[in-house]
Amino acid sequence: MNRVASRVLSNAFLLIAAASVVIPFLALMSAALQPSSTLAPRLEWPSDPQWSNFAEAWTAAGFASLIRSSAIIALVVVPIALICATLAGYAMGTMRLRGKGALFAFFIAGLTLPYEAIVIPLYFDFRSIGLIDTYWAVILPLAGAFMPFGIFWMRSHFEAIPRELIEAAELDGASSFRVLTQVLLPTARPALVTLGLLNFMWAWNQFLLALILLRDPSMRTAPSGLGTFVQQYGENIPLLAAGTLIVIAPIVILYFIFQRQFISGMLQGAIK
Amino acid sequence: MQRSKFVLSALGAFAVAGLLAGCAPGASSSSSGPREEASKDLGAEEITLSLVSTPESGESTKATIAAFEEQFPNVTVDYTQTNYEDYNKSVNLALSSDESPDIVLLNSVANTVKNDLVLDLDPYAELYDWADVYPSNQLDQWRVAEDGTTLGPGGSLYAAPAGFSIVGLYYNKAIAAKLGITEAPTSLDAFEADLAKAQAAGVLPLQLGNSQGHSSFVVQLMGQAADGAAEAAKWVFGAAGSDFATDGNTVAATKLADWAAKGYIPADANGVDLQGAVDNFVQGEGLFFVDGNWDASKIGDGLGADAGFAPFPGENVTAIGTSVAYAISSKSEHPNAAAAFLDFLNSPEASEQQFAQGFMPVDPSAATPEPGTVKEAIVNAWSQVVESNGLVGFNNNATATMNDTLTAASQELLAAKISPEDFISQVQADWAQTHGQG
Amino acid sequence: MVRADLRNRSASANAGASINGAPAPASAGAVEADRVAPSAVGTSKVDTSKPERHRPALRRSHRRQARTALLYILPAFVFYGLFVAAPWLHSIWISFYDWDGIGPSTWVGLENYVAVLTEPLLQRALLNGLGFIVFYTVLPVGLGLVIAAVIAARQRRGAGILRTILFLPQILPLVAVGVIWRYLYGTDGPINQVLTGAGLGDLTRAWLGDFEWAYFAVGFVGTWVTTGLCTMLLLAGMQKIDPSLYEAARIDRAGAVRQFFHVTLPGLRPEIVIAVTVTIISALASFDVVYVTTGGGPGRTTTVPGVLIYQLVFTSNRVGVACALATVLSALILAIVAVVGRLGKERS
Repeated sequence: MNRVASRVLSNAFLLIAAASVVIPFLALMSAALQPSSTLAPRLEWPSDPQWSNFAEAWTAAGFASLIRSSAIIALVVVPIALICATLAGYAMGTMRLRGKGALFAFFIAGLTLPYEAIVIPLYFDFRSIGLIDTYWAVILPLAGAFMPFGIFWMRSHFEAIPRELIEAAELDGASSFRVLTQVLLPTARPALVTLGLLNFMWAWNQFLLALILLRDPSMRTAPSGLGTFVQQYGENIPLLAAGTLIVIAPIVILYFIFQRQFISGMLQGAIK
Repeated sequence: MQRSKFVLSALGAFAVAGLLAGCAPGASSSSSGPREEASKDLGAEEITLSLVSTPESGESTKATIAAFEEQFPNVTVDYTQTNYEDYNKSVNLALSSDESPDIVLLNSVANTVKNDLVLDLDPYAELYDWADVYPSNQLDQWRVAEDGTTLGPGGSLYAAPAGFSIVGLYYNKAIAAKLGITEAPTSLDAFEADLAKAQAAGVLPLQLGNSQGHSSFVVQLMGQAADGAAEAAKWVFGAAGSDFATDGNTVAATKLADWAAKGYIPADANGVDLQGAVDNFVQGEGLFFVDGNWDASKIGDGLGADAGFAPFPGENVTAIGTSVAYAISSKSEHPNAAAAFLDFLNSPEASEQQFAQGFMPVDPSAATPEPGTVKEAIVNAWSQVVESNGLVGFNNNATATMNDTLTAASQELLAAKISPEDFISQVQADWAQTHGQG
Repeated sequence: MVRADLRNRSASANAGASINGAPAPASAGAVEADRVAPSAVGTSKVDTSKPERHRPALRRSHRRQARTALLYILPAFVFYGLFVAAPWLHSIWISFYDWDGIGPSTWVGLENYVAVLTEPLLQRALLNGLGFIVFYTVLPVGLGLVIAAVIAARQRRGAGILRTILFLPQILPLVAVGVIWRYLYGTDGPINQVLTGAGLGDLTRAWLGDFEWAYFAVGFVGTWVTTGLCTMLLLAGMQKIDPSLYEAARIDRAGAVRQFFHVTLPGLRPEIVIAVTVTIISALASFDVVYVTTGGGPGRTTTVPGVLIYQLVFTSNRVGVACALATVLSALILAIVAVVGRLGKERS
């Protein structure tokens, strides 16, 4: 009796927990499909779903250009970050270097640094060298900011590889670079995929840097475009909801495809 | 040993890089080479000007640019816009960068003139006889004394107006008729009586959205209607010795707090922004609503013949208003062409565009509203205010930070977190930081 | 430790020597040539038995390896150094100046820091940020413990889907999260609609414009975001706890609650420390959600350091003060993270 009760109770509890995450999305979806003149959409599935809201929001906020900006930034940052983190993580994880500990600590300190602490000088320095309002203004700091986690992540991956594997390759006369590309990288694919996904997500979601370092509206990224869309269309809930769904769609789709990598990546990244 | 040396030297290298980059921040000189002599002659060379603005005046500016380019075929004007809040946050920094635009919309003098970011237009004002084109009080808002912060007559001109905004009292004629109110109130007592009447009948007396601090319009209008426009303008202009704690402002802040307590304004006003309040007013929520002519089209379309507009009631006929004004960057390489565009802003073509967009045009003959519309009421109110010399700039523009201060303080006032006296002293404290103690 | 280290060293010395013994393949690049230590050749056979004799050679080979290692680390170091470390130092530098971001600046020493610690608005922002720890850390870790314990208690169908759902808020752009909640909290929004529908119309309010509620409303968004992460972290930790510990507790007749406090909680210490660290950083560095929902209002009730830094730079043009606030913020985060880390270690 007691067991059944506790089972029902605990299932109900988990259901509530899941519902509290899902319901905001359903509300958003239903709002996005209301006629765009609806000031206060009711919480109900619209009788006549207005899929055209997505098209309207798409053109009103110029999402084509916003998404292009975000995509360019993310697709340039991710390879840079992956290559740099792999090289550095390889050296940190397998090679001998005096001061490695201190150097590693120097990188790891970056994990605690908030973007607020670097964005002001970045703005003024980039302005004086003409990088403001170019994609590099966001790409370069993001690549730098991804280093702490990336090195940390790749280092622990390379450390976990049995030394004998490396030594055997070296015995065969392989250079350190060949050891990396032919022996280690094949085993590193899962780690790289996960790191790449996380970096992509962080680049796509970045707001503060994009807001401050890209002032030109035609350069805006999806999140910062959404931030200004709110100011202009804050009262047009259906359009705003449609815009929000457009901005989160790429990242949510990636998440559903690669959920294992996302979850395990963020958990292990935190624990390691 | 080696390790600490390596890390230290690396850190040191970056520290040096950092120090070099910023040795004393902002020390790099603003290059002001020899400037071309003020002239109406633009030559025949191809000239490209860049202009930045906000969406509010975007359509009319774009149409004006097209007309301008027709008249000056060798000049091209590139138009870009940013939404209002972002625009105000970045305009100074844009002006000071090497890619400064040539012509900028100037919403307030703030720190722009103090930092020599825009040109002194006096030579052009003389060249184009602007003193004859514009009523003097329309230019005074853009005259700045040598200290860079005190506005008003006597200073040098830094911007040329394109069209004017006016803030006054909208009312819903249908609701008024039901309550037996036949015309807009002209005294504060009559206004309060109408508010009470509305509440007694279960109608919201005064629509208001204050999440961006727009109740400060109500305080300013009430205050300057009592104190007179000249007195109020001094404070907005930053004239030495002015104080926000006038009788009019004190009464105004007290009344607003009182109305909030009585439920004359929406209980959730602090959570609704201006556009939200407009939407509510258009849907019939509220007898009165204080807002600017920039929302005239939306309110006119929504309420049709039921939309009314009048100057805010009080002893003096006044309004809050400012011009959509454009200035020339100090870094512009073509100030003569830019000045020609500024002068074009008072042309009949430009005036027509301004009025179509809802702004009061520089050339009054371009204001030809359809009879019976809210736009006609606004034109009437405008001429009343101009006649009584009652136009005062926005309190929000008195200092660079005044908008933030007014927003926070007015929200606290409505929520009864602070007293009317505290409200006034907070506002004055912000003012004193820029303009000095009274 | 020492022994392991020694073993490691001789192993790699051997490897170096052997490569040298066999001629390097032609394809080997410059990097490899650099790595090879010619002087190790003759001594390689004796090396392992008589460490003191190969020292100089070994050191040289180490130096080569160190140079190679540095070469690999260089690209990361350049990006991180130029675009993270240098701006951070530059920010500290600016914080000693009075500067409006446009004109010339003057050295003011610690004056900006005095402003950060004494001006009510700046203090308020820091306190608001610290207060967010309740919503970003305390509540999510507490909730996460309960949810994880319930999930771990028994195998269920749909556990995978449950995880996917719970984790979802963590991957969304925070701006979008802000917009979603701005809508939910709206005057005519779903939350007020539900309250009215349930006959609780008196409770409806403009959540984000209400002096008493706005701070909690915005803070709760943080709870919504971080609870999933905390739950998953703790769940992973629970699955690592040795089942025999529960066995023993059961023999001692400990009930479920006592098992939780005496076995589960202590076993989760590392995960709790991590969850607390990660979420405290996001609490203090919060910007996106506040910027989109309230912009810091009503009044100054939800002004957090990030939002204020933005205003100080772009509205008030007090760049020096903004940098001082940013510096205090990062120092505060570093200090709290260090304390949490130490606490976590001491107790275990």
